[in-house]
Amino acid sequence: MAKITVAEKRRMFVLFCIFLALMVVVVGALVYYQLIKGAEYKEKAIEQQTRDQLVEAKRGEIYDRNMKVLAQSASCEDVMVNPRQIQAAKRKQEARRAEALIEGTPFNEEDVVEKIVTTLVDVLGVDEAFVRKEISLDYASRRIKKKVEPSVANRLREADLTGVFFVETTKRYYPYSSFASHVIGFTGDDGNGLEGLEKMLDSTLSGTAGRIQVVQDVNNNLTPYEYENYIPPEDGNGVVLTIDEVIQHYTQKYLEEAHNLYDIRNGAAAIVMDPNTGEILAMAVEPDFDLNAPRAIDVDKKLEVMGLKDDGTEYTDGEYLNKLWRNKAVVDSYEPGSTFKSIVAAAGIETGVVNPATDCFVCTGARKVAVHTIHCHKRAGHGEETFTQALENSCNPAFMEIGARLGYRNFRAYYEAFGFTSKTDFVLPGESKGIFFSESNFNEAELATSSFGQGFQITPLQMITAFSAVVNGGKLLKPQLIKAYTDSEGNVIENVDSVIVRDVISENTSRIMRAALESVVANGTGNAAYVEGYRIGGKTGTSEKQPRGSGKKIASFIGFAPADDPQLVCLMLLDEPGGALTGGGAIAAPAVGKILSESLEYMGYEPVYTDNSEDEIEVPGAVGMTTWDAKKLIEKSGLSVTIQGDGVIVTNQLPKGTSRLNKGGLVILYTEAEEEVKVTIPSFIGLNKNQAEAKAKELNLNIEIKGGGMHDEVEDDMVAISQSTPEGTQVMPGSVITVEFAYNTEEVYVNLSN
Amino acid sequence: MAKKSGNENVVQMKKMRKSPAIFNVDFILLFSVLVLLVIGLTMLFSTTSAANMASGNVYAPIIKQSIVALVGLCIMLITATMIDYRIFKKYSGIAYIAIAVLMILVAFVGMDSHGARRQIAVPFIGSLQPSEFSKYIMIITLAMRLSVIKKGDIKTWKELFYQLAIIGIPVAICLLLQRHASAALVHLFVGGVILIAAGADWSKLIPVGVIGGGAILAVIMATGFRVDRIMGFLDKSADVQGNNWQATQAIYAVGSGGLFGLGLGNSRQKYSYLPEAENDYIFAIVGEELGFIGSLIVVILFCIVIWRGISIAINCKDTFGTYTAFGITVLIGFQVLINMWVVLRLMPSTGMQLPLFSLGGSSMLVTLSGFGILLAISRDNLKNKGK
Repeated sequence: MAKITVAEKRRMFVLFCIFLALMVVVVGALVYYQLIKGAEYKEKAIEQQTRDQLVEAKRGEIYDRNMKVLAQSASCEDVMVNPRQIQAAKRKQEARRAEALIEGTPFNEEDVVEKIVTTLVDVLGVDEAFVRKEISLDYASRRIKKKVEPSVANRLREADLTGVFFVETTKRYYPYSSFASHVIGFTGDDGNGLEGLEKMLDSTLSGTAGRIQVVQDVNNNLTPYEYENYIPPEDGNGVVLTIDEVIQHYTQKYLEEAHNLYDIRNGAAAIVMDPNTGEILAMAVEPDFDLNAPRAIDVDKKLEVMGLKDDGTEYTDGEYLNKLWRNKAVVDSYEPGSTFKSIVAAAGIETGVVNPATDCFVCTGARKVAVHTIHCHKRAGHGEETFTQALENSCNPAFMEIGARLGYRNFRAYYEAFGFTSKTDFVLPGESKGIFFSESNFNEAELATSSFGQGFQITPLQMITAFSAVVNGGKLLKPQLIKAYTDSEGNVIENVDSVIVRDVISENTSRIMRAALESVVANGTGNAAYVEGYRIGGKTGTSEKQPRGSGKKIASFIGFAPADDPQLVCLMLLDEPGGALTGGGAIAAPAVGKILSESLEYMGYEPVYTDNSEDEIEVPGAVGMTTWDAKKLIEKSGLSVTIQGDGVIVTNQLPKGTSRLNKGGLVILYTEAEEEVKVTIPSFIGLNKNQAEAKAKELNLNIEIKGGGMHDEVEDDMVAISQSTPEGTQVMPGSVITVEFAYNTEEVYVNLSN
Repeated sequence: MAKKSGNENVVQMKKMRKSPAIFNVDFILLFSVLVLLVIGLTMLFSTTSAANMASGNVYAPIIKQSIVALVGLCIMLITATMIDYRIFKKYSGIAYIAIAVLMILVAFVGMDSHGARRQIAVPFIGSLQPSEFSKYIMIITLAMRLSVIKKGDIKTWKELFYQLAIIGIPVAICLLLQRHASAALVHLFVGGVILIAAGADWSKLIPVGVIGGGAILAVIMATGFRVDRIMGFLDKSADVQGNNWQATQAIYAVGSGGLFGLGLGNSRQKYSYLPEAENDYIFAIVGEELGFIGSLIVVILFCIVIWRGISIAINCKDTFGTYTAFGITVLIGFQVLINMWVVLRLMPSTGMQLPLFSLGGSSMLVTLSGFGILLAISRDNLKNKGK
């Protein structure tokens, strides 16, 4: 056995020493990278491995007063792509394809890019060209679609697409879509409130976003790790509104109906308030919009709302949306017109310048004020009238008299005391405070027009707040829209109490006003608001818009019920009615009457009926009789008869037996030989009682006259505001058409320049 | 030994005869190898489980590697305790020719991977890489050659030519036919170091080394694919997404570990940041998960292994055993050193695996077999010492 030499051993030992030296370098490198530079490299590694993810706080819910959810947030996902990753996958696939081509093996992989594009287009409905462009960019992250439902995102997950990932976010839902849209408002894509309560209560609703650091791999997939700095989000608090979903529903329904029926050109608004607490039970604005798609542009609706500019061009979408989102009930001021007479009357009684029991006013159809002659809406004049009658008639000269008796100082004092010179400090954005004359401009003529509500501007919200004080016993309340705040779970954490701003008038004055205003509906110009079974009070208003003489008007009605113990006050304002009827008593009063009565019924107030149909006669049945006997029988009961045809036996009659007709009504008897002849219903709208009756008689129709008000009386100066069967309908002669009459008072013609 | 008392000697002798064969080998080496194997497999499981998470097959690679390790362990222990290492001397010539032929065949009919053919498909096992076996066969063949020549002959041109031929054939096959530069480099380096240790004439070795090295470099440059890696290394500020990506990510991993590491299984970098971390860059994951302390233990264990290997070589009483032990030790040491240098960015990436750690059945099998031979030689040394 050959032994190795010492030299060989020495060389091996030297080589071992060299190895050890090189391993020491390894240890040195470990010391350098791990101990000296460790923190720095660790930071760099964490930087690339982690993504700071915001954990969105859940936005608080908005409830109506009965905890029905009006606005809520639900989680959804943004669909993202990683274009770099997709391009890399595409290149790899191309390499495999080339390889397969060279080797002659079949290649039947689905094209990576095509699969992504077709799936995204199919599932998300996005534009194909857009997707292709996005995935061709040199970015690691591009958004394809925002706020996608989780179910849709899951369909994409199942498709297992390379380079497609998801970011969690939340979406705001409004279950009632266009319900109270101007009150609730909406949020932007980032979840911040942009309009309405969503804007004003943003900090309460939004909560505080949390943060989490997630560990991801190169392809943005999550790894099983989380770093410890997790800050949990604080969910937003909820808000309970004073709005009652049902009352809001009625308000919207009848406001929309009036808006469409009377061709309202410049929008409409309605507010329902609880006069005892100042709580807003409903607030509606027309036209409204869908809170789930506030930016949607309906071209027809846009043209209808905006019209065209003076030069014939269209308004921009932005201008349209700004107008659409504008809360007319709070932001826009208007001249209230005769509804304001309720305020002047209350001030007159409270100061003692008016004695409602004994005062007598004389209306000659006009009143001379300084150099001007200011007319009453009734040119012929109302003649002698009591205080209540003056209010019922909405008589301008009478109120100019009351204004003059009040004087500048008292008028101003009460104007201020009723809250018309300041904002109500309402929670919704953009509240205006109105415009009133400066002290030096407030002269005799201004005082006179102000007495019937023209010349100054107030907001609908100010009007209903002041009117509530008139009927509630004299307390001016702060209008409230928020009833309570809840935690994120919906448990009430703070109630909002009603705030009495000041006492304006005495309980006694208020009681007199309630009675007088009830009389306006029962006997006066507000008769169209009368609903049988309910005690409704109110005041009409038809104001002329600036510039005077343009013919543009604002029709309004403010009503309350029950008249003896007011629970609801409702103001409706229709801006620029474009149809035949423009008076507040004719077009706003019926809607307010319906809102009040239906809301009262919902609140549990049963209607109380009094039978006052003593003038009606039961029609005797005459079918089978001879025409002679039938004629005798019917005429005896106080009705008139027309016979159609030459037969002897009555084969048919209209109206039928046992139905009721007014005294002197027409019964048509048909004999066997006669073919039935149809009559086309005409329009009675705008006609007075006599004209309508003549027209009905001419066409062999029965007309049932309804006057509204407590006594159902139809005065000569009332006009028809609605008919039971629409114009153009074919009916049998003798059919009964019910026509409703009301005052369509053109209450103002103010032109102070003359 | 001579200074020890006779009694003590007798007691020791008795103990050795009575005790089982496993205690008659270099125990420190055996222990170090076993500890490294356990750490290696654990780290491999940690790394592959993350990489395979997407495919859902978390356990497949580690199960396969563990089976191979178990087989390797059996071979090691059988070799260490029962086999007389001199038997390899007899068959080294035949083995050398057989493996050369196999490597050439593989280059034409082997499995295609990344455009090169280096492996053959084997039923049940999957694949084998003949170049791994070739390294050991070359060492044994060189040792055989050195044991049969006279001591002075190594300095002659004729003998140098023989030696260089033994080294050169596998190098050429690896480089030219298999395009496997790192395997060629290992053969060349280990062979060269053995020649240096054996006392080859520097005046002859240097010119041969310069010419041979130049030729290899020329081939590497010509084939092109290596150049990118070298350039990537030189431009340290290069875009992390480019050629330098792997190296940069390895440093992020090692750096993240700090003193104590992120904890076993807690590497973040193994989640696709460090591509193929289970191969050449597993030491980076060791650094990230086990920290400086863990890395240092691994480095020290490998140093102990190399120390014991050199010690076994020096203490062996015959030339064949000496150079077989020396060659195997150099081979392990070289792989460990290069791998760690690459991971720690002290040199460009070469594709060198870390023995007992990296994924790869052939490497695991031959490494454990190599330790088996080392242990067999150590058993012989201890027996001779006892005489």
